[in-house]
Amino acid sequence: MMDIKQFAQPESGKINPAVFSDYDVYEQELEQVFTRCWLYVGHESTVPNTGDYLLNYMGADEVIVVRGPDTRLRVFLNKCRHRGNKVCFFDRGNARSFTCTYHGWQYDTEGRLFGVPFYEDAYLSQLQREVNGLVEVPMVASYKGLIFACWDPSVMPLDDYLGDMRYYLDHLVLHEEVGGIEIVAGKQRYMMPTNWKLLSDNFASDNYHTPTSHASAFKVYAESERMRRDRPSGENFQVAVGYPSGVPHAYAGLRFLPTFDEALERDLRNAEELGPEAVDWVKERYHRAELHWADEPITVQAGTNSHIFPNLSMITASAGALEARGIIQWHAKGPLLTEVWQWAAVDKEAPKVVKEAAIRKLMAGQSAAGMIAPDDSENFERSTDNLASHMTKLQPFDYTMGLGFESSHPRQAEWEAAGFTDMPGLIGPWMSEVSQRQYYRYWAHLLTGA
Amino acid sequence: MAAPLDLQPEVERFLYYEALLLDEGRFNEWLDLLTDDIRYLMPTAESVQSNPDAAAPEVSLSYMDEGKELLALRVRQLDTGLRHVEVPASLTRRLVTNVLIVDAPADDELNVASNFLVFQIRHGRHESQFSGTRRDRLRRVDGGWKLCERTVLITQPVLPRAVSIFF
Ligand code: FES
Ligand SMILES: [Fe+2]
Repeated sequence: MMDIKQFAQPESGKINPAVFSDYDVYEQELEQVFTRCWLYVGHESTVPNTGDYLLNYMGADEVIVVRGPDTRLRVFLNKCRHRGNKVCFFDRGNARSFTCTYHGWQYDTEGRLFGVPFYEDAYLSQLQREVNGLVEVPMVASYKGLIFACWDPSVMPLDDYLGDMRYYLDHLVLHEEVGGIEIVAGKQRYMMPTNWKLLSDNFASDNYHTPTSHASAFKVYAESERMRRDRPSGENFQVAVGYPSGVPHAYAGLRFLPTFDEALERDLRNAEELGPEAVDWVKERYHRAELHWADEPITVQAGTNSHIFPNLSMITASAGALEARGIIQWHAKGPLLTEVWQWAAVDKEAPKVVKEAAIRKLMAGQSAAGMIAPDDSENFERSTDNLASHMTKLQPFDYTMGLGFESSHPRQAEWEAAGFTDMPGLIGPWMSEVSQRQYYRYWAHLLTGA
Repeated sequence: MAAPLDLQPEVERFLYYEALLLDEGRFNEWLDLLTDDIRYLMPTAESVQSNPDAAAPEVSLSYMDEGKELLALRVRQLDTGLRHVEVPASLTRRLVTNVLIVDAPADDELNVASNFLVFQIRHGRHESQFSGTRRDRLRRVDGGWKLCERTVLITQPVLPRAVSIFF
């Protein structure tokens, strides 16, 4: 078995590539990471009614997220207690019960086994139905609509797990002050031939890659007047949430817009192309936001890419009234393959024309067929091609950017004076690998107990 | 209006020529086959056990939903030579079949269905296949045909790779 402590040395910025290719490490992750962390399993807006359900994965385990007749959300293994068949076969839907197609055991939406064919003849009425319900994930909790589940009953409460990340979710993703979000129907799914952690760590702060990896997109965006208008012009930060000793989440980019007024003006210009309904929405949204955030010392309006340990990412190209937020999960399918799931969240109260425009913009960027994500995919394919070679395994990957300057960046005093460091988490430079080092430190801690 | 069957050879020729342009990476010529008001849509696919009470979604997430302006931007992106996922260019081979003129929604327009199988190879050995069906609307322009609407329905609910090619 690989000695994780030797292969992952985040404190010195060295990670051996074997942790991205080794099957044994993957199995340890299934046991030690995906059973002990809060994992995102879906959004409440997609399962509003009794019997509504969706399927997702917790690690390699497929689970059913279902709303019971008592309106509670429960999460079950999608696995019959008799011989392990699946009991739910659709990506989502509405059901009164789940019936196994092998021998016909039936479970209700609260997981109880209520139907056993030939109960008297075959089992002589001896089978204990009460203890053969669907296996239930013990911990389920929501944060403002985002549903998380965890196998470990001793896990810290979800609020503590998210910690300061809640501030950034509130300000940059969830926006309850303007009516909150809904997840629109449909999700993108595509395969990437690489290790899931490389995708997570890319979202957990790799702002360094964008000028090179996405050079072609930025080059043509710059030719478009509209795209130029959308470019954030303020300060860029990376925030290491949970630093130095909590759960490592990251806002890997706060691309600030200068002021509410300037942002409003930009959004109004874009909204005019969409019609009067869109213009009204923009005005109304800024009005609500301004009222709500009036007392805040810093106006946080920013585009972001972010990451919640272990495998949930979010992205929005810019802040504003016309933006969708991408919600992305990196599902591990073995050490060398990842199934990417991506949803789109929009402002629930926005008019249809705004929702559609926001989604179209998201699709054209960080998206399965967009102008951004496929270039990431290509780079990961190239580096993963190299993982199998002997000599590659002898060279650790380098994660030393900003090492030793985590709290003492040359611009620290300037940020403090401007009030930026009043935001929660460790505020740092746009380009840094502090969040990635944090990510692997926590990952190694889960695998080794150290 | 019923399907004008005599146009079958012309329609097939249009679709095969389009496939040839895409296979040969002649994207600017491909753009010329699209009308300025084209809508190019590639929806996502999920299997849904439906609730009879559930309303049809107001909006939904696709893979692509673009007009000419964005499609042209994509071609310019390829032309930068920095679109890494197409450097070197993918080798592709498009097989277009089951071409069916469905009907003629207007005097100068045809609804056409076709199936496709696209082989994509990167770096000599990473192989992917996309299978699907298309619902196209063609418009007669200056004696020839142009594409004014395309819906690409990929058969695979989970795409084999991120998409960097046109269907
Ligand atoms: S496996 Fe489910 S009823 Fe036998
Ligand atoms: Fe990227």
